[in-house]
Amino acid sequence: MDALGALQLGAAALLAVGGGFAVPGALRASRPLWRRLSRIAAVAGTVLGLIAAALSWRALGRPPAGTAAEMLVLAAPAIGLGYLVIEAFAKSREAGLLVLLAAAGAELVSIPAVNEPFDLPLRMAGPAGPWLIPYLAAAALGYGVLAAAALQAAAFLVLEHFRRVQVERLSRAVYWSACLGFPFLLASLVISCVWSQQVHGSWWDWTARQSWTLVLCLAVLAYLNLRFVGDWPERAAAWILALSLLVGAAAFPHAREMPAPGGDATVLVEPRELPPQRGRGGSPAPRPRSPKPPAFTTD
Amino acid sequence: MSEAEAEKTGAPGSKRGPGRIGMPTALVVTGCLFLMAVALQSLRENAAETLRSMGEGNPVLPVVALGGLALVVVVVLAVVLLRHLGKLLVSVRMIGAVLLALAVLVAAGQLFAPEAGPGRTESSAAARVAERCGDLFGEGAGERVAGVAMLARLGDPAGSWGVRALIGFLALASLAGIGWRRPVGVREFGHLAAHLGVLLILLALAARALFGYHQSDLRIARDQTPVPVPAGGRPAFTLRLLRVEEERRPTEYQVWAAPVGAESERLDLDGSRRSSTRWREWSVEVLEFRARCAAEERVEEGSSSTSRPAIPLRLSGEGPEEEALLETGQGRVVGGPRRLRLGYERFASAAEADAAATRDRPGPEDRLAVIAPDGSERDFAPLPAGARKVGRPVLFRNLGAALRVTRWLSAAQLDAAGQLQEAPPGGGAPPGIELAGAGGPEAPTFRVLGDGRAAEPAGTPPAELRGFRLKYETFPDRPYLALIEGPAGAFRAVEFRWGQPGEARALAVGGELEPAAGTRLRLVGAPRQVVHVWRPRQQPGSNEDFRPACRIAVARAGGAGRRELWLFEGRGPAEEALGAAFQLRTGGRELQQQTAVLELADKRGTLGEYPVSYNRPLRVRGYQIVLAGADTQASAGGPVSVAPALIISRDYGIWALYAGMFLAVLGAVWLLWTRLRNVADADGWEA
Repeated sequence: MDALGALQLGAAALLAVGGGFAVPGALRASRPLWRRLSRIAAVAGTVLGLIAAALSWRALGRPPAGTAAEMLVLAAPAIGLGYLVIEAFAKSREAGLLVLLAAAGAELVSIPAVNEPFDLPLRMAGPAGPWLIPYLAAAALGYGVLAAAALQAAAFLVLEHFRRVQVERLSRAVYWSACLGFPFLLASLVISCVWSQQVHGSWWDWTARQSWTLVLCLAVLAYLNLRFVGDWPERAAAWILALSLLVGAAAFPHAREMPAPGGDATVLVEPRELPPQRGRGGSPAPRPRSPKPPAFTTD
Repeated sequence: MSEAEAEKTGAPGSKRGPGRIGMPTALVVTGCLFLMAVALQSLRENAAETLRSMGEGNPVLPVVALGGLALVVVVVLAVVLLRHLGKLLVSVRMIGAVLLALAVLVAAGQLFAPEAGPGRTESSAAARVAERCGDLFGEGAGERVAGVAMLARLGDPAGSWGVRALIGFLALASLAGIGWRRPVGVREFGHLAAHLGVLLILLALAARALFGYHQSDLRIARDQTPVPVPAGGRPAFTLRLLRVEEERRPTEYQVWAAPVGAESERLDLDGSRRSSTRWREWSVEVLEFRARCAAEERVEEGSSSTSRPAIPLRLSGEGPEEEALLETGQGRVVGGPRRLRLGYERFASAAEADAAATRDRPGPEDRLAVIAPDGSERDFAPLPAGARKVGRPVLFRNLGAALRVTRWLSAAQLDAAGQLQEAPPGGGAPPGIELAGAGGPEAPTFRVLGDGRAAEPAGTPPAELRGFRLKYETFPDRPYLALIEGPAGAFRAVEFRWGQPGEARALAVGGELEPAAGTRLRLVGAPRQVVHVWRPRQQPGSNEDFRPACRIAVARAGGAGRRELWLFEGRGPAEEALGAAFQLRTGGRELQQQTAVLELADKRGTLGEYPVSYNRPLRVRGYQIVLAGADTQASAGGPVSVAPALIISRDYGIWALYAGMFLAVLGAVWLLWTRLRNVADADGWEA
């Protein structure tokens, strides 16, 4: 396994450890050391995940958005980041195990996708313009943080039903997660509309990417309106957010489809149509670093 | 506002306010709103057709009655909703229900009619919905579900009045939210910005629908007449393509290799530069590169998976003396008047070699056709070539005639009595054939010459053929000399005429033959393995096929020697050396940017040259011109872009849209992120 894969494995391990320590720390009130260790592990795992995302972008020579599995290398640190921000504010760790394990799982799934990718003839709107990085950053943060929110909502439903513990902090964490993630998702939708206007001359075409992102936005907006403006019961509102996880799972694969000339949302060919171009059974062949020898004279 | 006042007015947040709209009520009202809009849309779309049918006297009374009833219900519901409109607009549950309904409708639209995008039409949406419902629910149930889905316009949300009604409700609710809440102050800025943003976006949508212009996939080519914009009506300007420019990545010259029988891999080599690499147990070095090189195929001694045995021959006689390698499976024609074909066949066992020397070889068949008086062909029968046909039956199935070939001459003529005689050799006389009908050896015979012309047969044809003419078509003989090698290198030469073997003559290494008059053939050496390789042509002509080529050196661990070979891009199978196959491929050349340079003109004259590139649209006179793609065509230097595709649009609300998007995002951030607080931990620790 090469350095990138090891880095991702380390990030996944730290996130899982952070999640593993979080639950006992949350259930037992006076365990500040466990809470610190949990936070340190989660922070370290998130930072390593961010570094791995950047390195994978560099190693691939293109954004890690070729497949949904590749995009998980961006989503995993976003999930961790969402948990960390809310844990810092709301001090809620009840859902930490679930959320951080999900982040660790996303990091693990992305390892083979990033380290042995298919060489895809990526079409990225000619030169991608100024939109690519803001779109990917906003989409990764939006999907990641909202996934953390939905997982926290699911944890709320389970804990509130079975343990009947005081779940006030968790309820607050669910709401604040949704508040944190929704603007990022909305921003990604807006950026993609502007990008589409530049590429297609039309900012809305009911593509799969736009439609599914809109569905997710509407679902989260409905949750926000009903729960904390309409004073809906916590449990009923949490169901909406938990079910939006399914919507997010349907929407996330389409997030990698970006406006491109000649047809909207076309970035890739089917991966199975292309053979792997790198060496078999090992890391990709490194680019030669020696100075370039003089070119031959040609006919 | 105090809680008592909130309860009195039923403002959101109050739990016991009078007239509070619960979630079930909100969902019902949302459903009614959607169904009312869908019903109105169906009535509008079908009214003209229904009235026309009524005018034609068709029995449409039940349809009209149902439509009328639906209209009455819609009107009644509309009156009820309008009476409570104020309460509905400020009800957060109502807004939540509308948002959820929109989410469900858009999601269902994606499930029922995926792959939506530019260019969708109602008919294409209907077809997609029908196909998807058939896949999901089967044929019968799928048709019913598809009907419901299309009635609700799930396949085309943009065209659905139900979706528009829900969006319109949200717009009114935003207005009411601003009006009722009267947001002032820093804390309310988020609320105001978010709602204003939504209103601006919806306003932009409406402006686009009402006043916008969109023309997609406009393809233009050079030397085409100027295209008016907009198409139809008075054009604001015309545009004409001047040229297309493009930037591509430089070509990559890739060296690919594979152990024989395995999948190929790309080596870490640049075929255009002197470089080397280790790959598995081979080391590969690029020695030379030529960007344009004409190739010629040569046969050289060597061993590989594609090598074949060959024998060295010296041919002399007519023309200059030449030496050649004759491979198995390949023929060679030697000169002389007989134009003899040479072939080398190698067999591992003596029995196989004997069989090859004595069996007949297949060849083209002769053809005997029956021609009716009107010139049409009534029947035909194939005949083996050469003398093999003698004694063979000939069956004309259509006419029910069974014949037998009694005699055949390779050069024949008919005498005065109509009998077949041998013609003098070298005179170009055609073959002749004699046939007999049923009736044993005493049956009468008749004769036909193989000159390819329909003629009455000479002699007594059977009753079934009386009144018909016969046409006997033959193919010229292609004499073939087979050099057959058996085990232990024993050679023999066998000449085949009309596919039939002649006498076999033994041939030893160094021995000579005279296969055709004026031609001498000598076997100068023992058989050897040869391979086909490509080499640069020393003196290429101007119309050669020039390709990139590189010369590589391959060595294998274990001291198996070193081989040099030329790789030509796109030439045949991979070149083999020391157990591996190598190829030169070109890659790269990915498009980085395309620019279509347009000339715009109006009635006053040319406005100038305007470039439009990917992600850099051209904006002129309120129109936006976007480069959507370009066809490419092959050229000597690689693909070049031609015939760009343009998308021309005019969207008056675009700046309102951008402002609305900005406000919506800003408002969402302000409204939501200001709710985050830093609370203390359970035991007071802040960490």
